[in-house]
Amino acid sequence: MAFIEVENVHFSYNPNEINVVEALDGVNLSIEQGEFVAILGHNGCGKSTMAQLFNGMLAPTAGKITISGVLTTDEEKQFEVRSAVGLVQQNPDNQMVAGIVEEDVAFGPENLGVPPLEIRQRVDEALKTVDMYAYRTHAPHKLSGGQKQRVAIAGIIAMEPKCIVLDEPTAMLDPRGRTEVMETIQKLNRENGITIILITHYMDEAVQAGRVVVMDSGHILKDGTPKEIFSDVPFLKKHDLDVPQVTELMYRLKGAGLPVADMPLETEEGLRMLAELIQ
Amino acid sequence: MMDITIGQFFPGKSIMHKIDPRLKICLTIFSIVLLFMAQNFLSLAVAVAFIFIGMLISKVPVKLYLKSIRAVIFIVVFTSLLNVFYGTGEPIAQFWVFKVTVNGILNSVFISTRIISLILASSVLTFTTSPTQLTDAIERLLKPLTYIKVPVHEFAMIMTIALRFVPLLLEETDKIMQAQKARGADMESGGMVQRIKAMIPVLIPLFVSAFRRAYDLATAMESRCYHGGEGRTKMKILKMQKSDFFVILLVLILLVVFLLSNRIFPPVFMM
Repeated sequence: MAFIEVENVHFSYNPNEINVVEALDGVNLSIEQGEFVAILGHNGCGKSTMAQLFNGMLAPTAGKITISGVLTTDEEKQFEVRSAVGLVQQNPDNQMVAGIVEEDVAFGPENLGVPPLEIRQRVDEALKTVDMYAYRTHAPHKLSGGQKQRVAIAGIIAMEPKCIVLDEPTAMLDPRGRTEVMETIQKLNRENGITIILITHYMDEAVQAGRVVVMDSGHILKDGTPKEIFSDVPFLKKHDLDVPQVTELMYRLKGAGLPVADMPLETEEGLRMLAELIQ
Repeated sequence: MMDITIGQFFPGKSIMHKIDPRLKICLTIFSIVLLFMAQNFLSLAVAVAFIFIGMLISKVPVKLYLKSIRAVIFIVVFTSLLNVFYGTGEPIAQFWVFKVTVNGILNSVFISTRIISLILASSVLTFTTSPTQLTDAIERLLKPLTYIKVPVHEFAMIMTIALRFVPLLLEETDKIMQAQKARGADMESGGMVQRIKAMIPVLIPLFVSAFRRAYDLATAMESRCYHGGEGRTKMKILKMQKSDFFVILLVLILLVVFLLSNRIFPPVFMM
């Protein structure tokens, strides 16, 4: 059994009405420990609903989700599930509780009843991991968007989760903040072995993941490596998803009859292929 | 609009900053009680001296203390004027129904000193204690009330969140006002009623956004395992230092001096 198992999950925000609108319509997904999964899709495709299902903030109307074999709907193990799967939301301002960075990071472990000295250690470590240790005594509203979002991530790390679900963490940030946050996420996955579920509608972020799940209107359309997903340009076009610019270029070149074997995802890769083509 | 800082905290490293916030709150209440217990000028002077010592060792510029008095200057002038005419005894000056007496003048000096010192005492507290320390200290001081089912932790959490979101909401108010002005809203002209009416297009979006924020915050708090004060630990533990006990000793000596001086002279204040 995989670390996270999503089995035939249905979800509806109005299950008791006659015209039931299903946000999720029979989703199956299994995620292994240490994976970096990007869930990609348009607004209203059900991806944000997925985010809140993973840590039991929402309960599926049908089907089940298990984290290391524990049902997310198990009331008695609620805190176990929530500390194993941390949730980072879109707006960094709205998820901070305390008026001082380090105290906000301490909020999670405090709720778990961790002894004070250990909280101190965890907080310092978490802030160092996201590179915000120097700002530990600052007020959150004086930080930049990227910094705030990193503090929010530190607040989750301090709870020592196995998995972090990020619900469009970069949607409200400027390009620099986005890079900062993406680098932090990469680092957490690589160095700390934390499973990452990144919910996004940015292609260039999804490309950085190890696995991409494309969703539309409550279904999973496609599940595979970034290469598999983004090389399938006709599929992306059919579902109105953006294609990375360099992939688009090579796709058109191929369409024009050039012998392009593979679809590049990164600019450097594309450059190299172009250089080869010219030779 | 942006420089409203709640509590007006001035970070520093003075002795006053280092005193345990719980003790500081008690000291502030203590000095206010002294001010109201003082019956003659000598004991009042002792109480005022106590507050002045606090101000001195706080190392906060005197200018800031003067600024905090400015807010109540109207009340001080008003009450002292009123008291001048309400004294008893022989009038030293008289016009129409107003009588000025020695007792009245003394009373008014006494009362204005009291009010000003009251403000200074609370300023010492808020200038040297950060809002977080303050809420933390209040939570701990009120802890015994949990036995009679007062939701002390919840109250402290509300204060923490309020302090956290005040600057955010102020910023947002500014933004909304600018957005409405850009759409041609007129907020500066017209009478009182018209100006209040002009605030409605600012307040409605502000409330909507505040509710949205509240929803997000609730989700964030719940997913970080918040479940009230039960079984919750704290990263920072307040612990009384040796120096704090020294402060308490000094205060006790002061209390004795105060009580003695209250006895020596007859009370000034007579209505």
